[in-house]
Amino acid sequence: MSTGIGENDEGLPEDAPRAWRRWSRRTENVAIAAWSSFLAACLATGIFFAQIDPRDIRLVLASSSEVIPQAGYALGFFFFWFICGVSSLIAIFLLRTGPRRRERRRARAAANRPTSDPHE
Amino acid sequence: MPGRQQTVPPLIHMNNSATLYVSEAKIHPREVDGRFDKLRTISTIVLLGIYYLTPWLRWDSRQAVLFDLPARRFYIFDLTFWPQDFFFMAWLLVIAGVSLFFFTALAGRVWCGYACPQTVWTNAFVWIERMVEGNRSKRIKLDKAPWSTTKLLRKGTKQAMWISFALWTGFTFVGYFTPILELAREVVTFSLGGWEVFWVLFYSFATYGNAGIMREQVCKYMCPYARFQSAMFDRDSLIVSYDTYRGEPRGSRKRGTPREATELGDCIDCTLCVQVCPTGIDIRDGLQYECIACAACVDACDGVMDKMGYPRGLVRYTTENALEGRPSRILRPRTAIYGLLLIALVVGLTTALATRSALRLDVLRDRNALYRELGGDQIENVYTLRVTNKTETDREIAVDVEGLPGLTLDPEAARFDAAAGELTTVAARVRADGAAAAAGGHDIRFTIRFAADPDVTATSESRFFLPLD
Repeated sequence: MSTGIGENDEGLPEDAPRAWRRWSRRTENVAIAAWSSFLAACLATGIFFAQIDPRDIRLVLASSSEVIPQAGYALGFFFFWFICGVSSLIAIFLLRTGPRRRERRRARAAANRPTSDPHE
Repeated sequence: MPGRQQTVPPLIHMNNSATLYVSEAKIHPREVDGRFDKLRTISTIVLLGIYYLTPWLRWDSRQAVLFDLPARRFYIFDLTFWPQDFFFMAWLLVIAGVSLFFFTALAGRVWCGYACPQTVWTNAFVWIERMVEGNRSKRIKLDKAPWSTTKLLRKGTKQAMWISFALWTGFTFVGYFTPILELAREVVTFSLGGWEVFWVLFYSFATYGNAGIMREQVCKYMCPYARFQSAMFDRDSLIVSYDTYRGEPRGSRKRGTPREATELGDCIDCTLCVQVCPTGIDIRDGLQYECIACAACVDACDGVMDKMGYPRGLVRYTTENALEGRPSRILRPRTAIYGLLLIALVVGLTTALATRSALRLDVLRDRNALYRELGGDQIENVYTLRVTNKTETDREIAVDVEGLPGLTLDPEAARFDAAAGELTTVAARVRADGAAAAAGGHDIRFTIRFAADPDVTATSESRFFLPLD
């Protein structure tokens, strides 16, 4: 293997500004919502089904058909995931669309300062 | 080193380009060889080995580790857990959390670099990619090249291997919940159940997406640990860091240039540390939350320093205190508290598991009547005993009741059989002499034990009512 001392990196010219492989806002929103709600749903499923046997759900729903345990666990999990996902998306939406703290702070700082450039 | 200009970048890198959206090519981490790479390889093989082999282990006549959801019990070697034991699971989670705090305070993000499933499976997927598509420059060239038979063949082979590996991962995952031998038989005979197919595909897809496609993005955008790690760090925590004082000003030079012959620092600006980074950061910009402390840059830089004849460790495992020439302490209030807490929790869990009773008893009073008057001052109260036999053999249960003079239990409830691993419900009629105690409620206590092994007991309290008149 070449250690590449002094070699230019083929994909990344040395003087090029470092660019990042970034996710778009939307990808980020969906990924964060999906992942955080997944974790919460795992926890909820664990706690819920430790107390309740999926076979007993039939009694609660007053349904006559038998609940297959595998289906009960799976549907329970996806139900929790969906509910938590909705909550996460609402939270992200509210955070993203609300007034920006940094902008407000900057505006306040600019108003208090005599010079226009805060870096001077 | 007199006369050397020292530009010290801030330790915390401020990413000022946060508002600039740059759609950037895929990160192709360069392969690296060295101490920490070996360690990472070993930990990947060991952890994946544990994951893929565990469901195949046998214990007595059953699968050693099986989370049997339909039967609602978890088998882990000699231990059997019931839904009532959920408490142990919660305890285990607390231990996992405190361990994370302890090891992070001590050794930084070792979890991220060596043990996180995200890292481990990404390593495996990168190995497959490297095996099929070659090293970094070959991969970059292949990505840029127009579609051809060779490219199609290489990309196709990689995808086929990734998908097979992901499917095997999904199959193994389901094997933790369904007896894996049965599952394997069903796969071979194409008779897999609908839900099993679904979960195999679900987990395969998650593996493929996380380790094949998203990789470092998961750490950067989705991992909560990366964001709150600063709460666990202090100036004595182990970090991977570039020695700015030694390295700057950086600059390229001819190979074999002695250190004294140049005004430059030790960093020859070969950018190898950037090329090997799986998250695509430049460690020389200071500590960044994207850094998963995999130490690939340490290996890369050590190799370069060896070639240049400079001492190793320009990029190294160190602490903020050590970088500033102050001593680092391993034992400090933070690590001591986390450590003691961890020991207490582990000892507590072990003790609780060791002294865990194989029997469980719940007593419910009959809701219909407080008491029933029989002839000759005899008063009867009725209870329901719910007995869980947590062992894997059928047992005869002996019941005692005490708390009032002359308490007797009807013979059918005094001794009965409880099937292995089942909940047995028994109606117990208890009688007392109404003249021997004051009117009203009295505390009584039920004790059950295995008839063949009287040391194993479980108790439960209830109330016995005597008529008020």
